[in-house]
Amino acid sequence: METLSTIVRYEALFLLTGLALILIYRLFTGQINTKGLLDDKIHKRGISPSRLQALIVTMLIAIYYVVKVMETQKLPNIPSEYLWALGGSHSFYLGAKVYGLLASKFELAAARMLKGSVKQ
Amino acid sequence: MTKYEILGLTIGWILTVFIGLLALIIVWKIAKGDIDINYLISDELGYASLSRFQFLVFTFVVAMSLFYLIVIGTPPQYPIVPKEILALLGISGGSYVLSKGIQSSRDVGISEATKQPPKEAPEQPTNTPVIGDDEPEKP
Repeated sequence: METLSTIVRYEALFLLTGLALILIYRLFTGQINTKGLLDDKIHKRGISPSRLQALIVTMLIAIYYVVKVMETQKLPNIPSEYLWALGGSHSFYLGAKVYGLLASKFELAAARMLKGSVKQ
Repeated sequence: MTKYEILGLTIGWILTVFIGLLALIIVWKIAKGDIDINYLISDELGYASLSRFQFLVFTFVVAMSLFYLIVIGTPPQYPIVPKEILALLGISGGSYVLSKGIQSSRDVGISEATKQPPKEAPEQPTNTPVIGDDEPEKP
């Protein structure tokens, strides 16, 4: 039973470490596409602030979580304030996306109306 | 050793070998490029998606933490999962799903308005510059 348990540990370690190493290597060498990760894709105005803050909040909470696991040696209870912060950050990001969607639809509708009035 | 213990041990070995082989094949194929992960965090248009990226980050963070906590326990045991972790993953997953919904709604709107299908993903998936891209055209 001991041997079985040891083998399973090494298998899980191999799988997780292998996947993580491949992903990190490919992200850094550009073999995994990261083009436009922070860009404003709707208005094409360079970096989107909503995306940037969502990325920063995500990374901070991920680091906080790992540090807490190492400290407490158990799955930590994340303070509700952090969850609100993450939820708020993502709501802001999604809100900006919805705003962009509505704006582009209005722009298209306005363009069609203009086109129609020119034809008449 | 009772027959049930023998049965348990046999099932344990079968699962260990099966999972081990599966892990080996998956990691090997990804490393070789047979399993294409170039667009792992990209959306349908070929751009990197932030919600997919943060989903990936949280999945790895939680999986690594879980593995670490299981391994350090004597005897190894599955830790109690607090509801805050589920909320964390829920926010991450919910954001991904909503983002996908918004994206597809936008694509449908644009293709209806312009009577053109949505743009396809670019052929070159890497974000490294392609040789010859920036070269001026020769007369």
